[in-house]
Amino acid sequence: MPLSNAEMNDDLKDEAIVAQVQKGDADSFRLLVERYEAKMARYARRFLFDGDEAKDLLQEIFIKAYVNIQSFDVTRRFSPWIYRIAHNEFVNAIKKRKKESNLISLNYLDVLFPHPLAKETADSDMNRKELKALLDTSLDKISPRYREPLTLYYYEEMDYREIAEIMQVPVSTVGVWLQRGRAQLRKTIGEKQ
Amino acid sequence: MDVEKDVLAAIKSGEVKMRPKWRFTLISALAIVAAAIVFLILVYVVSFIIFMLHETGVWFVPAFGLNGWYALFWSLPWILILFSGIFVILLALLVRKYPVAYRRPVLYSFLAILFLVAAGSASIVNTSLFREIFSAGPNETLLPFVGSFCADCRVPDPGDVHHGEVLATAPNGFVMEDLRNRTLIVLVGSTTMVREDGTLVPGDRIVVFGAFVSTDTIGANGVEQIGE
Repeated sequence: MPLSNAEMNDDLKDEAIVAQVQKGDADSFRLLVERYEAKMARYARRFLFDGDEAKDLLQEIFIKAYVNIQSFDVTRRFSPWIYRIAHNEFVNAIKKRKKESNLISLNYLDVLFPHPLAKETADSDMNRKELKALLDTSLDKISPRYREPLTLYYYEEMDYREIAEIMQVPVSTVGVWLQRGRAQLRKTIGEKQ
Repeated sequence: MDVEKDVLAAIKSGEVKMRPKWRFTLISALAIVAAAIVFLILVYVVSFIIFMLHETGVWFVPAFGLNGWYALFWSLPWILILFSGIFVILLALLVRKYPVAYRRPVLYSFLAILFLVAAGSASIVNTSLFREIFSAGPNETLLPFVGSFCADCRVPDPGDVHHGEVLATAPNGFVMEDLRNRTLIVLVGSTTMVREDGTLVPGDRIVVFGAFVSTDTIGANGVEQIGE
């Protein structure tokens, strides 16, 4: 049964909407697109740095989500699932670029061995704002491998576990990549000054 | 470009269709079956390697020191070991898509696979499976593939390692029959390293490490009594 207007509010969980879509209520998919369009656009913009390509991929993400929606387990969270689709699309897009294709390929040493878990430190608001401001000016100078976890952590405000789920890597690897990303950011800013 | 409008229009027009649930269930089931098949082949091959090393006696020679390790190294079936290595990597790739695998370093997946394969192989080696295949001969086994597989992939001739049974004892050694039904005289000297549970008696299973000094006589560097 399609969702009534009263039901179509912000309180309705993503997973409940997906369950409706899975039952054949294609109209409810509109709610998911509305909820995630801005997030996906922001993610694409920061990860890809190509406006036109990002728009094309945005459409592709939602189409893939709809086509494969029956594979989604409604007992799990929808957000990492759709971000995972986006991640795959963006990684494939970057692989097609000659200049950056080698920078996105997985460094197997990063996922092969255990790393001492880089603790998820709660950045102070000030620190976080400062880092975001620095990222705004220099994110495009950072390798795509580290750009993605930085984007998800600082802009999408996800924790290590969520990022690990989207990138399908161990949590400790996310910590290592964030550390390296911050180091690369500091180096880039140092070179600018 | 209005993403929402375009996506919904594509859905409404039927241009974009939802894949049925059974398709995903089938793919998941096939992936599980593929992983199970790879795992079973791996267990089979590894247990076969262990069985052959036991049968030839090579398994026991590291007890005789550096020369024993050297003999073991050169007697290992490297083609089968390479084949097993490829299958371990394949299995690690097949399980990588599951959260239990990708949430941990790949090394842990390898270790878990090796542990499960070792446990599975140990339980198979202790059954009579390979002994029956081995005694049936390559062409007479119930599983032809297994027979030819065993025939083609034998452990390399272990050279100075002789596995068999004591037929008679003498003051300076003993007479044994090896697995090829050859009767061999084994000379035991003061420098021979003997690892036995008491004195050797006819019927004991032994592994002799040493070179031939004549066509049917071995100068033993080491003798180890092994269980049944």
